[in-house]
Amino acid sequence: MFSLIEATIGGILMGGLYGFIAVSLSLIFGVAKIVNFAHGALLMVAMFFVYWILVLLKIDPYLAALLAAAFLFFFGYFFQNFFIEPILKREKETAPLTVILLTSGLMLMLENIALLLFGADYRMVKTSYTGKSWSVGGMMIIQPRMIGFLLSLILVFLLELYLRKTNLGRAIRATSQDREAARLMGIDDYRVYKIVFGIGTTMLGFAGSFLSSFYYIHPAIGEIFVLKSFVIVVLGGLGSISGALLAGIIVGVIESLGAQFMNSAMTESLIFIIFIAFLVVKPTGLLGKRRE
Amino acid sequence: MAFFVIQGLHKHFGGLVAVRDFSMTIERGEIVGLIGPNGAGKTTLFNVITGFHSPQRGQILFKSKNLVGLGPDKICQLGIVRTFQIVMPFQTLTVLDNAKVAAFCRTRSNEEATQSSMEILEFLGLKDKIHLPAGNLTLSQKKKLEMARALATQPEVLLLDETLAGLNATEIEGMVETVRKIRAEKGVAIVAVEHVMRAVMKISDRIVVMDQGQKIAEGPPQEVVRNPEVIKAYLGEEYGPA
Amino acid sequence: MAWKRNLPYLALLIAILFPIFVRDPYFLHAAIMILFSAYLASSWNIIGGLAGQHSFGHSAFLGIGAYSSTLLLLYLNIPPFLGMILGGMIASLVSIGIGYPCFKLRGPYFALSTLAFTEIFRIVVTTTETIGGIDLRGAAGILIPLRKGNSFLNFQFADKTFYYYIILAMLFLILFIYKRMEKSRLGIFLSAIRDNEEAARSLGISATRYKMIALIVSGFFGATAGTFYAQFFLYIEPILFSSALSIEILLVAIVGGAGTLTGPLIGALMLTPVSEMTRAYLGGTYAGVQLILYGAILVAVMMFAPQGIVPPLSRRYRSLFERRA
Repeated sequence: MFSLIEATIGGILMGGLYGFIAVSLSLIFGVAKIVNFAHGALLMVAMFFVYWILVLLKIDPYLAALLAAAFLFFFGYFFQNFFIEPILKREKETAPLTVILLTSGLMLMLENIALLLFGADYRMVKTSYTGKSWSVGGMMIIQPRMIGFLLSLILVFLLELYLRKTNLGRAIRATSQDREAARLMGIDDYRVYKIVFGIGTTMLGFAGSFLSSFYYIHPAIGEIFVLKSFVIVVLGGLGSISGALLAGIIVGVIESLGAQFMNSAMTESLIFIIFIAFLVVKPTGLLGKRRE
Repeated sequence: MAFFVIQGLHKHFGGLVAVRDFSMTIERGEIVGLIGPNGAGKTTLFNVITGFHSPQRGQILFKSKNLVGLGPDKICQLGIVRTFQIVMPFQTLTVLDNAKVAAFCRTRSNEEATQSSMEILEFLGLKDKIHLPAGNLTLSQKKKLEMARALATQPEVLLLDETLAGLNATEIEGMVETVRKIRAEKGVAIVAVEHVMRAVMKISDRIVVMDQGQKIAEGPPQEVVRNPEVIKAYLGEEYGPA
Repeated sequence: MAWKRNLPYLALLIAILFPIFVRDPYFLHAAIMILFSAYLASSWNIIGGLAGQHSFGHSAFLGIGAYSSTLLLLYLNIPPFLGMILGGMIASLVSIGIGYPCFKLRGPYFALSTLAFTEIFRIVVTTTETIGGIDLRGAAGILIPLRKGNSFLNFQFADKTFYYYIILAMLFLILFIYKRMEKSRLGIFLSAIRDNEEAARSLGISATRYKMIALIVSGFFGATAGTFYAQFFLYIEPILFSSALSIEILLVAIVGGAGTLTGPLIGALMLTPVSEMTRAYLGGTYAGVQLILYGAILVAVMMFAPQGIVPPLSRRYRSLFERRA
């Protein structure tokens, strides 16, 4: 019983981070209609960035988060501008396959360049709080997970504020609801896509630094995260930030509790099975706003 | 037995009512013009009839068989077909193959499908284009192809969705003639949603007017066009009844 | 102009004579890999190209075929050629289970759900040691016992030339079937569904039924490729089910031209040498480098020629074919 509660808490903390990553994907997928298969690989890039900053410049990962975020922002903006935008302009409807394949190609490149440069060893970021945990009521709460969880929530809150209060934020919401109407209102939707992609990757920059303190770093970890993120986005409902967070936490808890009873690989397949069942039965997700 | 009867059809999307308590009948071989301002619910009506949306309430009886709940493919097999407002040719297929897709609805044989497709394409004046990829046609040719496809399914009811949009005056004349020919030679009942008024007036036996999802008028063209409610719907309050 | 029309026959002739004139085992191996890749991509082409349903889970069939025929061989002594057919049938059955939920979805959701399926298979095969007395060996994979000499019964040949002609025949067969399908009622329906599913349905086509048929056929042939793989390499492992492999398969078809007859073959002719050469020159780190190049090619093709290579070329051929038709 005790370990179940501990597992649940651990699941919630991890899930919050999953949700955070899913929100960044939901933004890109929901607003720009871009299926970004490279999402996990970009997260991996963020993690390696933070790792090397620590190793070479001895800067703490949480401080390096800002650097990682900036780096990823420019990367995302640049990629959207030079690679995705020409395709969107060329193909009138959002061409799902071409962009999917484009980002798949990016994923293949990023993963294998990382493999080539850094090798297949698993790395961990070692800081003063890595592996430390707090004891609350006799249960262990891993420090970096808690910190990551809280920071993620704060950032999502800030994102919500940004979307609601600023002009650009409103432009983003308008474009995601109806791009034709937004265009008629004078909004440059291509600029919106660039910004959104940039915000999405910026969030990955933060997520990467939060994760690096307790998650192993390896060129291929992107693959796990990208699928999980899509599952969470669909479960939470496309277009819903709170839905993505909630679904992320649910997935985190399922994973964590599942690991108590079966090996971790099986819990992954459990999540995929739930995913497929969900897609068939309720494609709009838990809190989704999109009509079919 | 009534030929085609729509009773009390009601379709809403969330809070938006697209079709409100709508009823109408269609007789064999008649041409009905369906007009109304934009957003009146005409295309939604077509979508519901052809099975792309399910109504919340109401019945659609075609030769006493209720169409509600059937899928688009089944409804086409029963004899009701539509064209689309924005033409949807199968871009990578040739004109002939486009028609064959539809012809295969009535036969499994490649020869028969080819033959009936050729006949229809000739009927519509597309004979010399049969081996071109459909994407290469002009707009008015694509619209004819759209019609050819629909006819290849040998329908009893043909729903035309703004076939004349985007055509110039000559092309409109030609299309009007074509629609007349279709009714005359194939005996198909036609419901035509149109905005080009003079064409609708010329060709319809009867006109039904929709506004905000409801039927607001019905009758012979001359009568309907003088109906104050109809004028109000199109032109606004100031032009309506005092 | 006559030589252009005869190009396919010339290519076939070259292919048949190839092993007679080229004796170097390295080149023979590379040629077999090219033909294999073309075959596998052609099997994807049926569902992904002709029917336009871009499945990201095709490696599931490869894996099912490989594991089915291997387990049937090891536990029931069923000869691999027969196992190939049975494996194909098993894959077809599984494809119904995959198609049923996935075809309810469109676009990216469809792609993701097929990807999820193949990942589920990979995870299950990796983590399951035994099922009902059958040992799947998990991540360690299964070795097929070597039989000396050349034997059709055992589907093992010391002389690689046999493998070459078998895969050549298989490729010829699948291309023949594809060509017949294209112009048949089924093929025209699938093309219509691909180009505009809504319009197709409104013209009386039950889209779900025909997509399913395409998937069943596609799955059958994908599985047969799995058996060939198993009998050629004599080793199978769960990585055959990976989503990365699925992407590689569809990459070959897309680069060459999805939905065309020769697209997968052209794609294989272009991409397989890339991977073979990186393996030759870069040994240990080869797997990574090959994929970097694949990724770059994918990006480049999507940027500049998303239809693949064949369609623009075939436009010049089209007038030729028109006269033939």
